[in-house]
Amino acid sequence: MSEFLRPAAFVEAGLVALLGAGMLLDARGYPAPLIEGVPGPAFFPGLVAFLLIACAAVLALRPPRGPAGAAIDGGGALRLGGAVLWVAGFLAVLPLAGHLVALPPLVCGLMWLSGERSPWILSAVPLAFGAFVHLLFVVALGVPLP
Amino acid sequence: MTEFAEGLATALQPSNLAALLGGSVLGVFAGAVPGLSSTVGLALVLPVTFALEPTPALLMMISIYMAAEYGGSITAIAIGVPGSSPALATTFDGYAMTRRGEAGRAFGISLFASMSGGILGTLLLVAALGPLSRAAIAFGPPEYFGLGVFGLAIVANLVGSDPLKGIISALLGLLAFIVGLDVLTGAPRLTLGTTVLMDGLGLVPMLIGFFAIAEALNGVAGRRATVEGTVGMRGALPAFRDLFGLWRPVLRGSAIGGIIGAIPGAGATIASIVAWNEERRTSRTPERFGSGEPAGIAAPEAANNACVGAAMIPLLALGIPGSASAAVLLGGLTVQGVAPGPLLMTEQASLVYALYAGFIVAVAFMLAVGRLGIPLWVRVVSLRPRILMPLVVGVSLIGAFVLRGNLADAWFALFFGLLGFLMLRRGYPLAPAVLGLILGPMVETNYRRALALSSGSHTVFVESPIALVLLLLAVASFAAPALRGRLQSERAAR
Repeated sequence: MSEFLRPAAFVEAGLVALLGAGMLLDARGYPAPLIEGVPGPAFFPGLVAFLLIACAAVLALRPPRGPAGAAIDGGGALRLGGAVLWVAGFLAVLPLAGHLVALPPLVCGLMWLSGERSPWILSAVPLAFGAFVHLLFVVALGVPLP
Repeated sequence: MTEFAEGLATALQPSNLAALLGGSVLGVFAGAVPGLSSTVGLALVLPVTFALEPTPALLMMISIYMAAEYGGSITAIAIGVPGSSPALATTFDGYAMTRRGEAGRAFGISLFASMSGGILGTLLLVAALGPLSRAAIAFGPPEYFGLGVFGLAIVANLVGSDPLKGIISALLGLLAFIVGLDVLTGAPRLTLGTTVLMDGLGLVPMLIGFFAIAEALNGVAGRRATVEGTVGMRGALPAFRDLFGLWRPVLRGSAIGGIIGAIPGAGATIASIVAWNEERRTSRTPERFGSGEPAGIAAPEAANNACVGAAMIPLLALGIPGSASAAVLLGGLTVQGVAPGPLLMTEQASLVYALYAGFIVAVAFMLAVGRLGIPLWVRVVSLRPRILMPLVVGVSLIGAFVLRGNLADAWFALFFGLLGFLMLRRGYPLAPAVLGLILGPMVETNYRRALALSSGSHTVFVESPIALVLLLLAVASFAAPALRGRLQSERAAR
């Protein structure tokens, strides 16, 4: 079976175990149960943490299985990273610039990352979308947006 | 009957009719565009419903759910690509009919069967919701705990090919629910010492992130190819006699959809495939299936639309969403302050009757939008994903913000979008995580409440017959897929 799958499974198992361990550590600081014999706020997180660690152990130790999903090529990973950073940038700028200014660049950038190269589409669609969101949420529904 | 008439009058009010019509258009669109689905459509429209009154908001959502199940068949028939997974079985015979030059007939059969399935599923909902709600009124903390555990056991049916990853996904959902203040003591849990996490991560950012943003990121990373629409309304529409001749497949498909749809965790995809397979199995000419047999469209399409009404039974009576779409609907109900469960029928009867009537009107709109829009839908599904998906991200982020007017929710949606994308790529199903987030509070709170009432004695879960039966059902539900897999592999080994 494909050996290359193991490191990925170990990384996944490590992350899951780390989450479980983090939950256990956090749960140590929760208050004690209010009634004796009745579980307090730490019981359920402790149980979930224990199950996560147990699942991580099984994930790491079980025999390798077939490919888990479609692999992302180098270009795909770059585009994905770029898209996430672009969206994060949008969320950082949104409260400062407002939705009418921030939305068109968000959509334009994502379209470009998705492979759209027509200058007409890259400019017209984001502007129309910004206007549409404004009309729908602010004008029609009366929802205040930044 | 008076209540139903009042419900119908409510559903026929102009604002509610507009919501139902808008929902039908959006639903057919979401169902028809590969990559979107009823779940994505519902997640996208969730922010818009915040500003609406509960009745139009919920009517719009059920209309989307209903129409999207039909919409999937448009692409399935036109280009052989199911617009959404419940239309998979429709591609077998639908696309074969298109290649034979009978696209119009195939569209007509699909529409007729979807309409019939939708109505029959609604009748099942009307018949079952009242009795189930009345039975569930006797529920206390032990019974709710049993119900929550039973709901979580549904995970066993949603895990896909790798049960371990499904369980990890459900545990991640439970982890997400723990973030915030403990309901019973107010103690902050997993808040990392920040105030922004004290309100919790929230169901809506998770739904929007998992089902809309993750899909869009998938499009960016994979640059999904454009779907080329090649077929319009070629071929004549079916004659009434042609449709009437399909009453048996439609009834069988609806019955299968009604039963499977009401079982949490099973869903429309399974129902439509089972319906297609049953139709072929019982046919005198099984060899025709897969090469353009009308019954091969009628049965699965009736089944997936019958699932919509049936899926509302556990959702409305018990508060248990049986599918990802039902989970988003539950999000919509919660946002509107509607608490599904045994008391819904008594406390908000007018809303329930409006929903019943709304289902019937939604079917009528689906019929109109579907029939008039077929040529348009075939063009629309050719819309380039590289244009569509960025718009999905934009609407999703704004939508996540709108719920509480809190930008943190948009960040959470982005986080869940990235997490969902990575989980999908690594073979982790998303539905169990959503189920964990929804059912976690029911399980934990009622477990602790039940033990507080019984002074810490676990016998309270055995003394209640309902709790005991639910817990046993949970064990059976959890063990059944594993046992079934083992039996199948033993049979294969022989």
